[in-house]
Amino acid sequence: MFLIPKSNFKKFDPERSSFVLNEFAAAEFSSAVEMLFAAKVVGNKKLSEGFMRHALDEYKHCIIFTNIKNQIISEYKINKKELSFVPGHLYNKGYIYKDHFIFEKKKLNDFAIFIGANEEIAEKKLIAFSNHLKNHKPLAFTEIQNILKDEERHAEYSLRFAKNSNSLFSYKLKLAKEKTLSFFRHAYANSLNKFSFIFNPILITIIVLISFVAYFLKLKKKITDEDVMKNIEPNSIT
Amino acid sequence: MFYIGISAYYHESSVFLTDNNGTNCFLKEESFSRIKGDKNFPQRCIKFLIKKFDLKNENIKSICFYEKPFRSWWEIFSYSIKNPLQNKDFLIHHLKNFNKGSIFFYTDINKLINVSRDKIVYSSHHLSHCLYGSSLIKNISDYVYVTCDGVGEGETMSIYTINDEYKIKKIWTNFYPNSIGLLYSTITDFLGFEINEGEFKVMSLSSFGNPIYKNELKEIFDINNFTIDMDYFEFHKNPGKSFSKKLCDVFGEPYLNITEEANFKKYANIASSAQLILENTMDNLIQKAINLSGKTKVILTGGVALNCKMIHNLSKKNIFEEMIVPPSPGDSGSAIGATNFAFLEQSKSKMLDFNTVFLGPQKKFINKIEIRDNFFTKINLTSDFANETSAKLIKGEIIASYYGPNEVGPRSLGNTSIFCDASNRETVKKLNLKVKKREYFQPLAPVLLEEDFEKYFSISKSIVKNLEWMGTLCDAKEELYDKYGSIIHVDGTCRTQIVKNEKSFTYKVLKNLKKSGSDILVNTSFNISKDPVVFDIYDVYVNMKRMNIKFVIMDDGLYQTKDI
Repeated sequence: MFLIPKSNFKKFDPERSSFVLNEFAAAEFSSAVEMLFAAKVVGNKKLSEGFMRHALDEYKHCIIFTNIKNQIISEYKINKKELSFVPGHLYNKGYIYKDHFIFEKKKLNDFAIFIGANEEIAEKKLIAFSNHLKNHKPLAFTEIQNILKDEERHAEYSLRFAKNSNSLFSYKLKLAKEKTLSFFRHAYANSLNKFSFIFNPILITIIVLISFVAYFLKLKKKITDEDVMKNIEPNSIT
Repeated sequence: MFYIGISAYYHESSVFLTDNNGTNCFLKEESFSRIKGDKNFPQRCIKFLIKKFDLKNENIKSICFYEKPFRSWWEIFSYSIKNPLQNKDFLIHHLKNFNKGSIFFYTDINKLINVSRDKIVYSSHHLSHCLYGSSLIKNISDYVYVTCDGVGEGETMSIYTINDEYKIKKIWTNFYPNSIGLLYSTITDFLGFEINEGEFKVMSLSSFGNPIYKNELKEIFDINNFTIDMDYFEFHKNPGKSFSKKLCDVFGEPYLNITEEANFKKYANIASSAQLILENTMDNLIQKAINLSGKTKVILTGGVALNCKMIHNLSKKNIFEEMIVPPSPGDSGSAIGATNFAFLEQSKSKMLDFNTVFLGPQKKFINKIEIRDNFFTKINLTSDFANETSAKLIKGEIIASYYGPNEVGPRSLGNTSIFCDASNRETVKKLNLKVKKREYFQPLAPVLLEEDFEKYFSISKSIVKNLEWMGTLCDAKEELYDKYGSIIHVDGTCRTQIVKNEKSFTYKVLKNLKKSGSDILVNTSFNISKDPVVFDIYDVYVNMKRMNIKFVIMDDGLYQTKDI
């Protein structure tokens, strides 16, 4: 999981729990997609199989989180559309990049460290979150413990691979760097809404200014056209 | 020299490449990104094409984007900016996304291929739809071309004609916000489904209800004049919500959980009413097209045309001689229309026409054989693996198919599908709910040989062509109920596919199945809910493991998954 949802709330809150579960599902799905891509391009049969197994685990986790969320939604009668899992939203939420997979931008060793570091962070957050469910949803708690075991295994494999491919100093340095970057990535993602306080007034001013221009700028609308191909300007964007 | 059409940024992105000499390649960005409905600029598709066809400026004749980017952006913006403060949320969103939209198409394409500016052309949104429709038929002047969607370049409905000299005439247009497509999408949103993805669920749900809200909806949308009352909507004000409080006053609370019976019934009634209003509106639109053009054969395109229940119900009104809805009538198929625009724009007197709906790449073009052998073991004992496949299907196995060229459009037509014997109720139920994880109110679709169609189904002759790509529903006859009851929807219809091509592997499997006493297979797309259809061999393996399917038919045999 490369962007891990916030889960540090104190009391069991069904709506917030559903929100966090939905975010965990999104993070797992994104991770699966990244792993599947890595399996396709890594060029080493054993590693490819490893990435495939990792992808299968992540897809499975996504379904488990979604099922737990659906149970809570149904039990507590929560009617919020934001709680549905929509793959297309993964881009906007920052879980995956539009123009590249992470594996395309990192060397294999760095990718392994990246996975290991992020799996460890995810594990900690998931432990904190699952403790909230322990009393209210004991079955869900047990299922999450199984996910935790998988995550631990993924982190262990990745970091072992990275340790074997780097000197100890280089490994520790890169791991620390990944954890720091992860911290900043989350800080940035969590404060995106706060930026709007700064930018929105500027945008509203621009919009009001454009509204005056818009009064005069009217693109020609045709209800009918006798010869469409003759009248269209192929190189124009208007 | 290649012609390339691109559709992107708003709905599922796609690219189509052709040399008009037998080489065709239709791709969707979601196949590569593995994100269903991926609408981003299709850079992964283009990278694939560059690699496979060695694309460069010299061998590209023309690249066509399916619409006019600035017009598309501006028409929506200019409507909302009439009340800038009231609609500020929408306008801010629209402005923030300015640099992510199609206005930067040329920049996006140039990051991948250094192509000269004069080779980049822009079609028009509804014209691309129309030209995709025309690529499926021979006698282009016999038809009137009707497009209806949410909105494209500020247009919501258009009617075109084309004469034998390829002169295209636009004979009527309706403009944003008067859109029946946006009304249907708003109802989709209200019922808790995702816009641009859940409309087909609304269509399925509608069969469980009664149109008790039809009068209220007729107040909201005038089906005769095609105008909308915007007081019920917020899509022009709020990027995250399509309906206003006034719509809630009519229908009650949105986003209820439909697994509860009372909610299900209520929402089915709303869906049924929306479906009826859509059908009445389209009835009037088609009649208008026929009256204005004097032609009784219709090509219907645009996202609204994906509503196969509407096509079926319109056919019962006997207002047209023939109606063809292409396999991918939405924006994704417009990449083909855009290519056709580029071709016509260059040639002036020729259009592309295809005699197949399988315009995607061959599986062997996508994959390396040695990779396949890492994940699968060939298990057929004889060369007649169609027979062995049928035998397994009769025993109740669920079998995936991955052979031949890929389909165009949202429906898998056999080459990238999952099959099971339609007479085996338990297997059909398992496939729908456990393997595919679909909603319980959505039925699975049958596929059978053309020669057996009339034994089990009835349909108006005017829409029969669409059965080749599941473009319409048809009625189940009594003969179907006993043995194949599990594929019949609650309203007695089925979204049937007929197979005519004797060379196709699906045909051979069906022939063999018939010998074992079953005439019909269930055919559903090879994906899990919320995932795109499989593209390469890795996707096949991962999806089979996720769905717990053991067997897959490929071009040269029947295969079983290995454990890795």
